[in-house]
Amino acid sequence: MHTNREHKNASGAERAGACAPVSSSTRVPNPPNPPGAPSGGAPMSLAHVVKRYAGGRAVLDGLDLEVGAGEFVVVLGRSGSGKSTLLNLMAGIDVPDSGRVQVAGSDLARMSDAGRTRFRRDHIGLVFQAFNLVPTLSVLQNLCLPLELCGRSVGANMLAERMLERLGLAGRGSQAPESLSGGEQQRVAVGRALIHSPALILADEPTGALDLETARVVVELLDSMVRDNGSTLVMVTHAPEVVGVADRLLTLNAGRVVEREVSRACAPDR
Amino acid sequence: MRPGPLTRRASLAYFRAHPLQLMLGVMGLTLGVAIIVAIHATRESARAAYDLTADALNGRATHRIVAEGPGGVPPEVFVRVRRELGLTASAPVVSGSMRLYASADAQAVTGPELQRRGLAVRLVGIDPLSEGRLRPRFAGDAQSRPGQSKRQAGGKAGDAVDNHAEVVGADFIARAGTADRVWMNAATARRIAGVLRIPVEVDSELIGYVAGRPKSLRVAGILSQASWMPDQVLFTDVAVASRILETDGRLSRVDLRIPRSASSAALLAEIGKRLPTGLRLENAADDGVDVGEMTGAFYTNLTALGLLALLVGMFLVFSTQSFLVTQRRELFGTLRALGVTRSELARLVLLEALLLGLIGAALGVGAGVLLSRAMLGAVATTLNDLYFEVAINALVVPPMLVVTATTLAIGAAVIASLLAVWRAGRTPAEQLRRAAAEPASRRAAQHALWVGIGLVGLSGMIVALSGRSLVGGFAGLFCLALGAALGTPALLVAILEWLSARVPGRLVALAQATRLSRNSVSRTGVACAALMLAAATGIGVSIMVASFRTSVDDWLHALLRADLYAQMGGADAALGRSGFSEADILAIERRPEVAFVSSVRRARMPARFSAAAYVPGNAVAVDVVAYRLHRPAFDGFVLLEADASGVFERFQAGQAVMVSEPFANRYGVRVGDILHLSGAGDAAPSAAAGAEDTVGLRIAAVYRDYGSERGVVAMSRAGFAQLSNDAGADGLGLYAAPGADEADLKRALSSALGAGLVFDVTSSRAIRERSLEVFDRTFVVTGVLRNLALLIACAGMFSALLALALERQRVLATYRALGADRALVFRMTLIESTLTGGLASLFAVPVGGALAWGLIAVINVRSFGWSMGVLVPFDEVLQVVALATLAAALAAVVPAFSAARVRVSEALLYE
Repeated sequence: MHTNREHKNASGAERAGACAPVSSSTRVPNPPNPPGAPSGGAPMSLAHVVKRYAGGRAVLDGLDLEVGAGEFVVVLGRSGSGKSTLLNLMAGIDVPDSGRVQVAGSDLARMSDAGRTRFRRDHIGLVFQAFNLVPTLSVLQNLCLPLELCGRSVGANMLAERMLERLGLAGRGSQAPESLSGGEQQRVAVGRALIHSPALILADEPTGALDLETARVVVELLDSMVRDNGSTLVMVTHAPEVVGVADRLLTLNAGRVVEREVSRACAPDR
Repeated sequence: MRPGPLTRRASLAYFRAHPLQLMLGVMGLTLGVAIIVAIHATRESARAAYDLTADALNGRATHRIVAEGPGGVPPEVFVRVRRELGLTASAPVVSGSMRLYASADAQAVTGPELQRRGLAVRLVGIDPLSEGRLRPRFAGDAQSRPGQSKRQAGGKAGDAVDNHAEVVGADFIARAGTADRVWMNAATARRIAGVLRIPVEVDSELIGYVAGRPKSLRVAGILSQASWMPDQVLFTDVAVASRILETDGRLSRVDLRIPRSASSAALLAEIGKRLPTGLRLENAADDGVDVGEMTGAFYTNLTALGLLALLVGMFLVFSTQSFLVTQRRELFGTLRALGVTRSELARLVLLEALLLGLIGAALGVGAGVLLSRAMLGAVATTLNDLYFEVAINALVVPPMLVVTATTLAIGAAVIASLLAVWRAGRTPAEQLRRAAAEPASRRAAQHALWVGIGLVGLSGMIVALSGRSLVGGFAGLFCLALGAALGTPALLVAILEWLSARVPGRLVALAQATRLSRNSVSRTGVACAALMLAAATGIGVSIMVASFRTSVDDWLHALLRADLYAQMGGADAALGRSGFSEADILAIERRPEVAFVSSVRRARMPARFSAAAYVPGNAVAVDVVAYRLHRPAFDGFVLLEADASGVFERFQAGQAVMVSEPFANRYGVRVGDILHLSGAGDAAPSAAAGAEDTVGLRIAAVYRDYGSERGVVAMSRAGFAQLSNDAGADGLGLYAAPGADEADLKRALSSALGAGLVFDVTSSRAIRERSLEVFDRTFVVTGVLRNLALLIACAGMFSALLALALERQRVLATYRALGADRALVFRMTLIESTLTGGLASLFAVPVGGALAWGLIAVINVRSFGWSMGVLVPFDEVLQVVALATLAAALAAVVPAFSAARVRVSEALLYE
C-alpha cells in the first residue's frame, strides 16, 4: 500500500518527467491504437484503495480488485455505495486517498492530473448515464471529439461517418444531439467512447435513463462493439438485462468488493 | 397576490449563495448610472460655481449702466445717477482679469510662458460706502447683522448667513483704498498657495500681472467662513481696482437697484435719456452670459457619451437578468409545481429587479460623485480655457439628479427583467436549458438583426426629418447605436459558423473554441453587443476628436498668416483703454521691418436679416469683427460658400460682409442674403430701430471659424466705419518685410508705439500651440469617459464568460473526462472570448465610423454649428480594437481558470 507521502513524491516526478517510469509499479503506457483497429483489453488492478469523502467517511475502504484484459465486469451496489467513485478512480478522474489503481500497468494514483488526463484520452472510453454529449457540437463532431483530442483529426470525419452507420444513425451526423431520442444519444455516446479504440471502457449506468427495450439495444450494441474491439469493459449498473451479459458480477458493500456468481445461462458467448 | 415570504426567501437564498451573480447584476447598472451622474453633477457644479460668482458680483442689482464700446463708464456718470436722479441704490464696479504669480516667477518668465504659469483670478473693485443696498455683506451697513434673513443679507438662496458680514464691511471701510489690499475667501487663498507654492496669509504679498506689467497686492483678509464669497475672486476697493487694472478711473459698470413699481418704467426711461452717447442701460438678469447655452456645446459630446454608456449598461443588465432567470429555472419550476402562479413569479423577479435597481442606483450615485470629483479639475480647466473663469470647489448633486438616476437604474433593471421573464415565459421548460435554448436564441438574434436594420433606417429618417434639432440628432445617434448593437449577435453567429466549418481539427483549441462560441450566443451575444457598442463609441469619439483637431489645426494654420501678433493684455476689454489707435497702426506700418499690419476690432451690434428664418422682423445682437486686411491676409479665410467673384474687393470696399459658419447655421442665412446692421448700439433693440442708423450689407461668403460657437460677422474697416466712429483695434498682426525676423518686428513695434502702451506679443506658432493645448485639455474628460465605457463592456464580458463557465461545468467536465487537459480547457475559453471580443471589436470599426459621422455631421453641426473634414486616426482605431480585444481576453482569464479547474467528478455527477 502506498502512503500519501509516496503518492506526492511520485506526482512530483511525474510532473518533472512526464510519463517516465518512476517505480516498478508504473510503466510508460502503451501508445494508443490506430482508430478502428482492435485494441486488445487492458488488465486492471486496484489494491488497498481507500477514498474518503469530505467529512472523513470512507466510501471505499481498502478495496482490492483484479480485472483481466478483455473482461466484461459489472459492478452492482446500492446508491451511495461508491460505484461511481470507483469508476472515477479507474478513469483517473479522481485519485484515491491511498492504495494503487493500475491500468495496463500504469499506476494512475501516482500520475499527475495532466498525466492521468493524457492516459484517459488515449486509453479509456467513457459512457455516462446522462449521455453527456457536448450539446454545442453536432452528432458527427461529438464522435470526432476524442480523435481530435488525441491529435488524430486527419480522417476523423470518415471514421465518424463509418461509426454512425454502425450505430444505425447514418445521415444524422449534422444534427444536434438534443434532436435525438435518449436511446439514439446513448448510442452516439457509445460510439464516441469506442471510436479511438481504447483498451478500457468504463460505463456508468449507461441504461439508467432509458426504457427497457432501448436499454437492451444499447447494451447489445456496447457489448458487441467492445467484443469486436477486445476492450476491457467495467460497467456500473442496476439493470437486470446487463447482468446476464457480463463475465463477472461484483457487488460493492461497505467500501469493498464482493464477488457474485454469474448465471451463465443468460450470458451470450464472449 | 404578492409572492409569499417563503418564495421571497427562496429567491434571496439564491443570491446569498451566489453573491457574485448579484454583484455582476449590479455592476452594469452602477457604471452606467455613475457616468450619467458624473457628467451632470460636474455640469451642475460648474453652473453653481458660476452662479455663486455672478450672485456675489451682481448682488441685488436689477439694472446696470455699461459702455457700448471699449471706453468704459466715466466715473461722473455714477455721481450724476446718485445726485441728479437720487438713486442711492447704486454702486460703481471695476472688474478685470489678472494672473497671479509667485514673485520669482513674475520676473523670470515672459510671453506665452507667462500665460501657461500662474493662476487666473478676477479682481473686483467695489465701493463699500455705496454697497449697502446692493451687496450688504461688503458694506458696514446696519442692515446686515448676523442672524438676519438671507434676503436681508443679500446672499444666494439657501446660503447660511455669514457671521463675517459686518467684519468685512467694517474692514473694507477702515482699510480699503489705503493700499493695494485685497480680500478673498479661504478656498481661494488655499488655491493660490497650492498653485504658486507660496504661503498665503494676511499681509502676504502677491504679484499680479496686468497688461504685461507686475502689480503688487497685499492680502488684507482671508474669510474662512464666507461661503457666499466666490472662489478665485479678489475683492478690493474700486479705486484700488482701477489703479491696478489701469482703467484711468473709468468703471466697468454702475449697478442699480430699481425694483419693479408703477414708476420704475418712467425712471428707467429717464435714466436712458440722460445717459451720454456710448453708454446703455441693461437688465442685470440679461448679463449676456447664459451659462447653460454657453457651455451646452461643451457638454454635448459628454452627454452623447453618457447616453451610449447607459445603453451599454442596459445591455449588460439584460444579459445578467436573463442569466439570473435562466439559472433558477429549477427553483422556479419547483415553486410553480408547488402552486406559485406565473404572475407571482413575474412579480418576484420584478421585485428583485427593483432591489437590484436601487442597489445599482445607490452605488452608481456614489461612484458618480467620486468620478465627478475626479473630473472637476479637468472640467474647470476647460471652462476657464474656453468660457469663463470659475473655480469649482464644491460638488453639487441636485436631488433631482439622484431621483432621475435612481429612476433610470430601476427602469433599466425592470425593463431588462421584464424582457428576460417574457423570454423565459415564452420558452418551454425543456428549452430553458441553455443548449436547447440556442436555436431559439439564434432565431431571436435573427429577429434582432431585422429590428436593428429597421432602427438604423429609422435613425436616418429621424436625422433627415428633424431639421436642426439637437434632440433629433441624439435620437438618431441612439437609434443607430442601438440598431448596430442589436444586429451584432446575428452577425457574430454567421461569422463563427463560417469559421467553425473551416478551422482544421488539428488546431484543437481553436476548433473547439469556435464550435463552442458559435453556440453560446444566448449567453455571450448580448455581452458582445455591449462590447461592440463600447468599442464603436471609442472609435467614433476618436475619429471625431482627431477630425476636429486636424480641422482646427488646418484652420489656425491658414488663418494665422502674420509673423507676429500683438494685443492689449490684462484688463477687461470693457475698461478704459481704447486699444491700438489708427495712428499706432500707421506708425508701425511705416517701419521698414514691417510689410503690412492687419488689425481686428470686436463689437456687438444689433442685426436684422432680410431672408432669415430667425426671429423675422426683430433684431438680434450679433458679434461683429472689423478687419483691416490685405490680400494675403484675406486668403487665410477658408471660404465654405462664396459669391463667384469679387468677394475680396467688395469686402474691402465695405459693400459686403462675410459670416462665420456657426453664424450661418445659427441664423439660417446664406450667401446673397442681406444683413442689416445697426450702429445705434442697442443690444436689445426693437423692430422699430431707426432706419437711418442701419446699413444693409450683402453676405458675400460663409467662412470656416472654430473661434466662436455663437458665430460672428466679419467686415472690413471701411464697412465698420459706416456704423461706428471707433477706429481703434484690439489686436494687430504684423507681416514682416523681406529679410526681417520676429525680433526685428518686436523692436519695430516697441519703437513705433513707445513706452505708453502695454501689450502682449505672440508668434503665430505660439498661438497655434496654445490653442491646440486648450483643445487637447478640452477632450481629456471625453477620453476618460471613453475608457470607462470600455471598462463597463469589459465587466460585461467578464460577467458573461463567468456565467458561461458556470453553466458549462458539465460540458467542460465532459471535455475533461474525454481527455482534454486543463491547459486545453483554459485555452479554449480564452480563445473563445478573444475571438468573439475581437470580432465584436472589428464590427465596431464601421459602426464607430458611422457614429463618428453622426457626431461630426449631425451633433456637432447642430450644437456648435461647425463642420469639419473627416480624418480617421488609424492608429487610434487600431488601439481601440486592440484594447477591446485585450479587454475580452483579460475578462476571460478568471472564467478560464474557473473552467480549467472544474471538478470533473462532481460536475458529471450533478444533473
